[in-house]
Amino acid sequence: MDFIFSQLLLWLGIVFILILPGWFFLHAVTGTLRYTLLERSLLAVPLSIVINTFLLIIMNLLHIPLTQRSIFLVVTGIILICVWIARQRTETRDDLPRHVRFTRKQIITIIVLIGFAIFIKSVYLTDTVFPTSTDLGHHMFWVQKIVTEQALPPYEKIEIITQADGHYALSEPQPIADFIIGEHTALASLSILAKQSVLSAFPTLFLFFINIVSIVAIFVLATRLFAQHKNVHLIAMSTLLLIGPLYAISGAQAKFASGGVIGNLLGNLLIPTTLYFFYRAFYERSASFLFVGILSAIGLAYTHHLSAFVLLFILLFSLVFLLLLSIGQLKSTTIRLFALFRDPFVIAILLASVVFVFSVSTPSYLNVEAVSSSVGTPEKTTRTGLTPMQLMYKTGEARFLLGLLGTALLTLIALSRYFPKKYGAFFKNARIDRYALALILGWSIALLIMSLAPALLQINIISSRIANYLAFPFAITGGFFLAWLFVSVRVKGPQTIPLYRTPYRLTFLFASILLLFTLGSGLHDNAVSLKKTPNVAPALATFEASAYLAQNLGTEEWLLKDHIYLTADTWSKIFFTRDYSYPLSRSYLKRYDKQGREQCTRVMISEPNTELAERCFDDLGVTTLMVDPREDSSQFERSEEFTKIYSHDNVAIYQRSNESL
Amino acid sequence: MIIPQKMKGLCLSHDHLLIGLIILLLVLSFGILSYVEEQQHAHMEGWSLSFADPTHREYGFTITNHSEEVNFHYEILRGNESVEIGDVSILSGTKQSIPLPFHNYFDEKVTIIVTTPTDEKYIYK
Repeated sequence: MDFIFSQLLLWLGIVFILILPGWFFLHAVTGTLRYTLLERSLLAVPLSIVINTFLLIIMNLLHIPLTQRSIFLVVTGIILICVWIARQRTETRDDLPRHVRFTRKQIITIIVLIGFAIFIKSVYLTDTVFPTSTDLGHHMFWVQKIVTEQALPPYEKIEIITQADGHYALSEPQPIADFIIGEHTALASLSILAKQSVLSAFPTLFLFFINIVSIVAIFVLATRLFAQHKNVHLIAMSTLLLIGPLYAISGAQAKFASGGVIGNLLGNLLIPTTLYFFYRAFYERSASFLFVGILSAIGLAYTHHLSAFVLLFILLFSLVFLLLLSIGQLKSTTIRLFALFRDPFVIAILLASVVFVFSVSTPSYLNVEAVSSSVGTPEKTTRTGLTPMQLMYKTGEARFLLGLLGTALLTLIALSRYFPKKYGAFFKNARIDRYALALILGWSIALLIMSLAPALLQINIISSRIANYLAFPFAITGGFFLAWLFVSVRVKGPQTIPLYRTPYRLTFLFASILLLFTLGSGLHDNAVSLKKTPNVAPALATFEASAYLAQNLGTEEWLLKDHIYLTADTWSKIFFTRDYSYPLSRSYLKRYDKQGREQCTRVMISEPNTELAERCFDDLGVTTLMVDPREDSSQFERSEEFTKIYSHDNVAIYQRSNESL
Repeated sequence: MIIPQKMKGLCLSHDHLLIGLIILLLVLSFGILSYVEEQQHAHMEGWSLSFADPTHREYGFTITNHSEEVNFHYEILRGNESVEIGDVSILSGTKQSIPLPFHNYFDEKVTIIVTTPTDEKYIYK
């Protein structure tokens, strides 16, 4: 019964925090008739996440404790305000855009594709849902801190510093730029409101939900971008095939959900959401869509710095392509673009964003040091770009190939506008408006250049991280290419494909091989990504030992744990919820080779009886050590300086004896 | 794109169907994954031995049992001298604390050794 109640609470929380605010916000700002039900349901989720982030920031600034009651009341208030605003609107059917509708068979196909994607990801997650991931553990510390302290935390940590006299000390908390508030607000709200423990499947389920919504977002975006194309249904379903069940685990998919790469997953949802609104804003000349698009973009800036950085380049490239595609009508295009920015609500949100970002609550990564380290000529080999082969394996072989072919085909379609007499007939059915074309090409080509040749754009970021973003635009361009191929094959006879005059049978053979390769590659990738069922017992032992220490350690005592051999050790932070650095941690030994790196955390475990270790113990106030006894025990047990207070096969806890303190 | 006449009457229900089935699949998936994770919490293995109060000169200890063993034998050493022995039965999934009446052995190391037919653990201070 407890289990069912917990599930019910979780879903009520998801509806209340992750759907209703965005749903009513859309109603208030843009109306409802301009979306299909699927679009509105989908877009409600990222907008709810953004709204929740800003709500919590504002509540924190007003010193309102983040409790179940306060969050419930504030969110309810926002919903009611949106309902009131919506009632003042009048929508007419005169300006109703054309919606793409799917037949029953197509809906069944879509359900099968999404269902298959959910199934494959679920199979993978059954072996990884137990909380052990290091990254997820770091993030859940901050979520737990919000839940425990009922306030948004400053992102800072204590560090070990070497003083001038050679002694060591613990610094005052120093700001860290690794975390951004938007990564934790939705989880914190759900944890507080729906009473979900972070030490459970809850965080992974949240990320899984975000991943599925992202997939549907790409499908919806493809539908909207190709709405004028007569084969839009096939394009959208092909896109869904490439982003859903194929390559469903590796890359920024299910692996990121269990691995706790929160910012990237939220970014993968907010990027297509922002692009959706920007596209509709400029294509339909709608200031209200632009308003929402800007809000979504600012929300992204408060959620994940790398995704925001990538979005910036996508928009820049898209703008360039739009201007190139509008050569004959530059003036009118420019006027049309700028006209939207003169809308009072758009001006208001731009001004409010500037004030908010620079005066009210500046994202932790927006400082000169962090920005300057990301911009410039890359020097490290991990930042100079991937090779095409590396990028292909990162994106998925078939998806990369199809995406590339699709991008090439769309480029030809774009070029055909300059040579209408020669190529216009061939591409006459390729009805894609220039805004959609500019966006798709800008998105794909921006990420290709950022991944392969970042130096051209003066980007100094780990290239493999940027390459994770390519899968999404390539799913769209690849879906376009697949659809184009299927249609070419369906229409028999050489007279219908005049340009290359390829015999029908050869085209059919090529298409069949390509489809088999695509399916085989994607499904094989899923198969090799599946893990063996893990043994969670070592993680449970770590949790039990951490709970013991949380009960018995004094607030002035510092704990040092091992990260090399202990399982799920990062999650021990959650039992204490003190500083981000508590407990201190012995990292992987190769990290201590770095110039200037402190050695205390290494020697206190590896060589506890040396003079350096003694000095570290005394200076830092470390009294207790948590280690894996199979790897680290003899150095403590042969010493008179240590007592052993806890013993399990996987975890041992040693303390400096009172005579040593 | 003009909506064909034959599809108009079916439009609303298709979106509802799609959304409803996605939600149903997610609810099922979430339920299964949550259940699996909850069951994994019961996979704790082995048994642990710890001091009830690690910081003071109290020697009471706790055995937390997640193994198949039930019978535990303990021996208290003061220095090298055995000062107490005993046996205790602890069911799997439970723990038991054994308080010891003596304390403040300032001059000697006290070791608690607990054994089962297949395993031995010790703590000391």
